[in-house]
Amino acid sequence: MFENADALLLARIQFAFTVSFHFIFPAFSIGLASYLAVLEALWLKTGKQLYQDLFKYWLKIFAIAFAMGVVSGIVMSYQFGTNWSVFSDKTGPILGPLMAYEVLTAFFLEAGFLGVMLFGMNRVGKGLHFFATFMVALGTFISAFWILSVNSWMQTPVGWSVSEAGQLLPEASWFDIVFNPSFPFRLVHTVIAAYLTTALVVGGVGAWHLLKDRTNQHARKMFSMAMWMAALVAPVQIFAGDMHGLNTLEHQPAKVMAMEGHYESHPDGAPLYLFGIPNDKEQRLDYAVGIPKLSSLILKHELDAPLAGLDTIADEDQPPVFPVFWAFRVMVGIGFLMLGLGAWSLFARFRKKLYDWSWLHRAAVVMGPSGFVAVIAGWITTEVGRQPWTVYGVLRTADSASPLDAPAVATSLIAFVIVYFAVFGVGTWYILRLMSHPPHLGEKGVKRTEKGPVRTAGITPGPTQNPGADPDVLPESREEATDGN
Amino acid sequence: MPFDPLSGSDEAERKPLWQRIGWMVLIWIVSVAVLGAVAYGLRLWLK
Repeated sequence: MFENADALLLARIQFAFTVSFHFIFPAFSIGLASYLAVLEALWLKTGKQLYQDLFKYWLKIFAIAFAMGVVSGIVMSYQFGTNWSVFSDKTGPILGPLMAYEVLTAFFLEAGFLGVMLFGMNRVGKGLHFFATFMVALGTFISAFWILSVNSWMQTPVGWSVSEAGQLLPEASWFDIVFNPSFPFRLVHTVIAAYLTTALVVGGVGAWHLLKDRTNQHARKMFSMAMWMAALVAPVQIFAGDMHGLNTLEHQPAKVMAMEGHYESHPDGAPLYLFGIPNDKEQRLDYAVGIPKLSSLILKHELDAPLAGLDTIADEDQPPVFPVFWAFRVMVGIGFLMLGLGAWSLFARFRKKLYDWSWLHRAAVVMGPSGFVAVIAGWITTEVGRQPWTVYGVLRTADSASPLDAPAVATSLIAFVIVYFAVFGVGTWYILRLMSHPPHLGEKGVKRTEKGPVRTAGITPGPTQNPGADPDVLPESREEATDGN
Repeated sequence: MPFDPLSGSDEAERKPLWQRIGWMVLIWIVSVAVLGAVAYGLRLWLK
């Protein structure tokens, strides 16, 4: 059936499918782990039931997202051996240790302490439990550190030499390899993206429950925290993205040419194309709509600065422009929408309408999953943009694949598609189901099925009966009833 | 019974520190072992 298919193309599709599926989960869990650490710290510091409830609410969701992230990540590691054995053989002396550190982090910091976080409170107490939560948050960051170092070295390889067997060996210090030229920019941009992705999900869930009941104190608190994050971090992310772009221009100019749609060189200032249909065959941007000289201003900080185009790059070294051009625009467009949402929330906060403006809540719900779209678009930009190389300028993608026949790769690709949609589809459905339940006072666990607000015992008003209250402050009698759990 | 991940902290606080650290080490080892088993299973599936 697949005898005439291209094994290399199938292997690339398989990697793109599995890595896109995988990254959705760490993009969420990196930020959520830190959010949980903040919630638990606030609970321990203030003793407020509200923070404990939110911690429990998001812990259930984190556990599932984390499990799916780790499992899909392990498959990625194995895939280096199955479909990309030549790449693994040639780059193993450099990338092997870095990958090993990532796996060790995932096992011994993230997974190990997740068990304590989920099941250890009644055995280890509050202090050690918070230590475990902090270790999980730290582990997700260190895990991202190592995997982004690997990816960055593939984009901007330094400190290597070629052995007689054709392997890339470490030549410079490991510090130079780990902190290769694009790594600091990619680390900052990616980790901030994960925090923003999580903030938008938390904000979207909070907004969803505010639309149903704007007096829900838990929904108010999570929406407020998420909107602070969006308002403060989205501008930082746009700045970090700009810095990352300038770094890419220095080290991978062909990628930036594809992002900008610059087939032709512009000696007197290059336009910023807002729209266009890239035509690789004719080497031109059809139906282009652009602003004159703006690209030169952004990339060189000078209106008339010359910018080289893809006409200076050999045909066999050019990336496919269409996916890079459009993925970049999707990412940037969503980034500015996040900035707009954050600014809107600040205005609403200033007007004391943060919990009252339904259109703001609707916008936050719509923007809830946008972080995932943005990070996937970002990875498409950077990964397709560095084609046709796996190790930029050193090892071509076509020379990296395992010597497999197309039917073999197609079979595993079909298996991955079926298993991923089944397993991770169920997991994602369950996460959405958990999110659809409103967070409430005395949040318990995954089996709770009560509908609507939960009343505590006695005469204390429930959250819905006290709409004007500060979401930070529970009524005194309720504090007494719920503290110290 | 619903699963409450933060229940029983007061009871735990009354136990000596060495016992609580011992529990943390034990749960940590079991958690790492569980992920190891999952990883090995995936390896067998992909082999």
